[in-house]
Amino acid sequence: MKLFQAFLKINTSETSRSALISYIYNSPDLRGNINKFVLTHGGIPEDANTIFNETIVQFIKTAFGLRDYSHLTGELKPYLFGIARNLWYAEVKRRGKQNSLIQDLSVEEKLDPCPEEIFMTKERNNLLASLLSQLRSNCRAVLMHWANGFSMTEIAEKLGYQSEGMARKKKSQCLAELNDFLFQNPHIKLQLQ
Amino acid sequence: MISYFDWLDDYMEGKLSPQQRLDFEQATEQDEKLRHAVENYPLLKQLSASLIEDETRQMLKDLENKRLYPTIPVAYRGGSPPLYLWVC
Repeated sequence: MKLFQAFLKINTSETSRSALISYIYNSPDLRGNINKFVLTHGGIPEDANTIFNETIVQFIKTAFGLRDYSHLTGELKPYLFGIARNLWYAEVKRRGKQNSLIQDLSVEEKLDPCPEEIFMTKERNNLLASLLSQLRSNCRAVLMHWANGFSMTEIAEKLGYQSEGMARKKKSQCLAELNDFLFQNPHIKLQLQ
Repeated sequence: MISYFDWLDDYMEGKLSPQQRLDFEQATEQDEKLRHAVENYPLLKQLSASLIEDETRQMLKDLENKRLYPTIPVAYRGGSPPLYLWVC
């Protein structure tokens, strides 16, 4: 699959996005290459799995909302492998920094993941997920498109609103809903900040 | 009646006329939720933007569950559809 075709699927609809994610997730060659790379660069199978999933998340986040991708004629899988490689290098660097701190303190020398940080990230993701689950699905779709740069005309077209004005009204209502929830739960706001 | 919430983006982006801006600011003085939205606008936008990440993580979780706990046929009865059992 070409990169621009994948970008198109990501930006067309939730259904086409879901189909693409499933296609990537079930690509044994890509998973195998990422596994091999992580395992031969100091990682364990669990790291490889995390990097594989994070690669997909990063790719979708990057591509969602992009307009001009017709010039991206390269192949999808090498691009994804590049993301995975960069993510793993960043992770190794982060662990290395922690390691040198540990060495300075003469406590431990082995290259360990930082369970505390992973836990914090997961905890934050869970908190976010629980907060965002308060929104109704049509609100989630409107806000997600709005915050990622889609115009109200595009939102109306993609999500089936009769006019740009209707989409704008819906966006205001949904943002007010999210604002109300944060207003009533200031502790969640503090945790996220 | 004006819903000043509809003006929020334009206010934050400096697109309101001077009079509208004044009206909006007066409204924020009386409406604490509107004021909260102005003060927390970047967070609201950031949270909304992260919905795509949340959606992707949910899709991956579903795929992971399918991969780890696939359904397998346990019995076939003639021409009737197979029965399935969740394997955990």
